[in-house]
Amino acid sequence: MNESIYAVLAYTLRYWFALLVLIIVWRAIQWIRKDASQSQRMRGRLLDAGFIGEWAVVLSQEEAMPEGMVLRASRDGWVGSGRACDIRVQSKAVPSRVARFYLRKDGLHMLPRHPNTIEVDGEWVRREAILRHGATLRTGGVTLQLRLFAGILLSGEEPIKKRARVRIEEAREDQARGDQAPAAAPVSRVELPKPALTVKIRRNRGKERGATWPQA
Amino acid sequence: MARRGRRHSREEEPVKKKKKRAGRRNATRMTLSAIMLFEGTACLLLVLRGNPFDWTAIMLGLLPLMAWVSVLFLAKRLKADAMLVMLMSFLCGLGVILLYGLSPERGLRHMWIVLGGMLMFSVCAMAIRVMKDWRGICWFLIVAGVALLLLPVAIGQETFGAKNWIIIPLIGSFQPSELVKIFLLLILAQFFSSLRGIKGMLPGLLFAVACLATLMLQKDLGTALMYYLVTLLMYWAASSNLPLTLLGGVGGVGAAIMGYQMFAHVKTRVAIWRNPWSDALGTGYQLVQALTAIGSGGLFGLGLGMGKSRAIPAYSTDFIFAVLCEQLGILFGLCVVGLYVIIVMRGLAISLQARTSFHSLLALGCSLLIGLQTFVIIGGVIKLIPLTGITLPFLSYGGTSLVSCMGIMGLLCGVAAQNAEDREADERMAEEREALP
Repeated sequence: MNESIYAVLAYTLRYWFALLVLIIVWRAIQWIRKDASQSQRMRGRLLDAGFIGEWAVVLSQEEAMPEGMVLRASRDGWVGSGRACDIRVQSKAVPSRVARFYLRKDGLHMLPRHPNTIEVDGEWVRREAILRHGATLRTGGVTLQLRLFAGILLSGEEPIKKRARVRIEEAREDQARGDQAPAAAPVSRVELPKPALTVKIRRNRGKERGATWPQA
Repeated sequence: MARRGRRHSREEEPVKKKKKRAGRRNATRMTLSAIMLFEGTACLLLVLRGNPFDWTAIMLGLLPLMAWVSVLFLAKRLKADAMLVMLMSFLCGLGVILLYGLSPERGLRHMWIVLGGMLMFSVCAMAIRVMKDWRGICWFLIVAGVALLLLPVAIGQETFGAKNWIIIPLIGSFQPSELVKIFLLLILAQFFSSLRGIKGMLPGLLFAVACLATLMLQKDLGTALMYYLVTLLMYWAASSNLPLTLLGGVGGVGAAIMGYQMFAHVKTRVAIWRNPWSDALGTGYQLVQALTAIGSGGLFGLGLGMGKSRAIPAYSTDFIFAVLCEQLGILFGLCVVGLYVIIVMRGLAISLQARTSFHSLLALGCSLLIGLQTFVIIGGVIKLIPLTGITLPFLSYGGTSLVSCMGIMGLLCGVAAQNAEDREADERMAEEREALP
């Protein structure tokens, strides 16, 4: 093609290219905004998405943390009085970062930064503790209880739906077997498992002892 | 004590999945159509540029097809973020088009490298989803990364004052520092998410220091700056330790002053940044030509393939942004900058939504690297900051750089795919609880 004709064509098409790139930028911004609003709606619908449970304040000597207060439990993070901590214990007696925690299949591992700075189920923790549903954590003058959500399955636990189905079937069988006997009320409520005991593993150098169960 | 179910808001909206999917499909189609139209029109224009026609330019017709395939395969099959994939394919296509207009051979080579980059993208995206424990691999990456960075010092070639290239027979040149960027992100994310505090972070910090020392030996100061900034910002995000971060910042400033005293070309670059017209035909020639090109393009540019972009030294690598502004205009250039900003914002959103510290830090590192690299090179070209010899992600000519940037996007999209899986699991758990009697 002739150079001058090409120059005119290229000069004209620059507006077309500008329009297309503006459309691309505009669509991308719209996309981000739509995703942000969808994400917000999802967070509103599933208020606990991303969290594994909650920490409930069961005993407290601090005004800032009254009994009954609930803190969300994340999968991993820090416990302490610092603002950046995931579980913020508002007590002057608590260091800014007192322990690190993370969730694994066997439970919530709690590693104190220094030995004997936290208590789990009434016992001081030297190196590591593994908490399950219902375990208590005490630091400063505040005692927190871990309450895991029903969907968080730890090792040794069955899915709730399966347990519920088994119990309903058992109830129906009982009812069919005992016609004369007063029929047992069908299970209308799912019974969730009782809290397991907290397991602590005391690690010695080069040796690993078996789990010790605290006295109830 | 019975476990309670998850809480839901009182005004629960029914999940209108079909409507949501239809809306998302429309957004994808419109954006993809605009990208394919742009690439198709540009290809046609470049075909018409020849005398009588440039039939080789018909190969660029593969670009719209590649964009379509990347959305169909990469976004859908790998569950990668469709928007990021589309923006990446648009920027890669734009780079191919601009380079073809300057040098058809380079343009076509860049296009084939984009295909290689897509493979790297897929590998990185799948690796994040498949591998759950990176600790063992990170130790291997540390050794491999240091070895790769030492290769140019031992057997490399010096180019433009930096000894950071290796020539491989039959393949061509290879820049190890670009590939080691991916290693750096994975290593820093793994060790900075350590549960042992500063002790756990030490291997990552020591690796970063080793990389910086090696890059200073190679005199590749631009890449060293990227490594330093990403390490510093990821450390701050991981530890929230402002005093130590500020100390690192002060250390960086000190190193910059030392670099200014030690390296003559650093002094030259600062001098031409202050006043390039003081030596317009000598050391300031490159910057003066770039600024003149940007100015002569005006708001809408001179037209694709027009202008005198070849007068700018390193027009296809460091100064591709000046070429873009000359040919397609400052408005187009601002939109491209806007797209990079959108990519970084999207990456930060992905980082905030990640469920584990490792994924969150990895996504943050990927976004920071792309954002900082873009800022530093565009800032240098428009005389906002002193010039550094790094490439503009996806646009600049350079095989290793392009493959590395696409790999970094693969890591980011892998984290996004993991986030989507976690969200689906949350919805499933909520539905299961609701279905219980």
